[in-house]
Amino acid sequence: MAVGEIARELPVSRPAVSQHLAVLKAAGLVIDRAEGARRVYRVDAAGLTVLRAWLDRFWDGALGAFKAEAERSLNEDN
Amino acid sequence: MTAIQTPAPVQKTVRVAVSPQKAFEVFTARMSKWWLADHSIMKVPRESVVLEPRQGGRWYERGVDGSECTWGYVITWEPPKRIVLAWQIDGTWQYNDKFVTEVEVRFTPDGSNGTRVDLEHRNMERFGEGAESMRAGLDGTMGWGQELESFAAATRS
Repeated sequence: MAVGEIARELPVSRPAVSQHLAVLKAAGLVIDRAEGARRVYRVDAAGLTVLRAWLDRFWDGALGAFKAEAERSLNEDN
Repeated sequence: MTAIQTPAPVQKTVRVAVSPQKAFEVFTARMSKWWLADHSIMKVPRESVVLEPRQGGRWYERGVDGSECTWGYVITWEPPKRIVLAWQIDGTWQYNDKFVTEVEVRFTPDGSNGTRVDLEHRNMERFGEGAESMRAGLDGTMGWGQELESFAAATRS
């Protein structure tokens, strides 16, 4: 779907739709491609990008918590 | 038909101010202490995360009611240098004994008393087998449901 088509179905402006699509693209939920002068968006069919993005954030959080616990436990031992 | 691209593995590095022995010990034996509480596939609150310290050891979480839910097993056990875990939670957030993705964690000395921890979660493409059911899972509350809800809310504001 092109941005204009999506905007027609939503009670928000076209620039707002573009902004939200950029967020969804960054999150791996949609894929875009150029079609002439316009940009066409579709949902990431395989969903792999989505899951990968989720795992990427998940491991960031998990390793951050691991680091905090490792360094906290060291202080405790001393 | 679109060619399916193999997604790159998830790779993370973190430096911790403890020895490799300590880092390995905290990572494996004290998983309950740091594994994020909201990342659970159980219906009841979690009591602990257990990684049996040996090759072939089970990796599971235990609920406050004593029930257990398997996450995977230990493929390689090389303290204090390296561990490879089988992550067997598939795209529908269920344990699946036929499904294996690998999580390799390496502990390398970094400076006088620090450790560089490199983590790689690979075989992402295996999540794609059964993409339909996976999408259903990702739409649920465990996946992207909340993000999509807030997106929807944002479009309404």
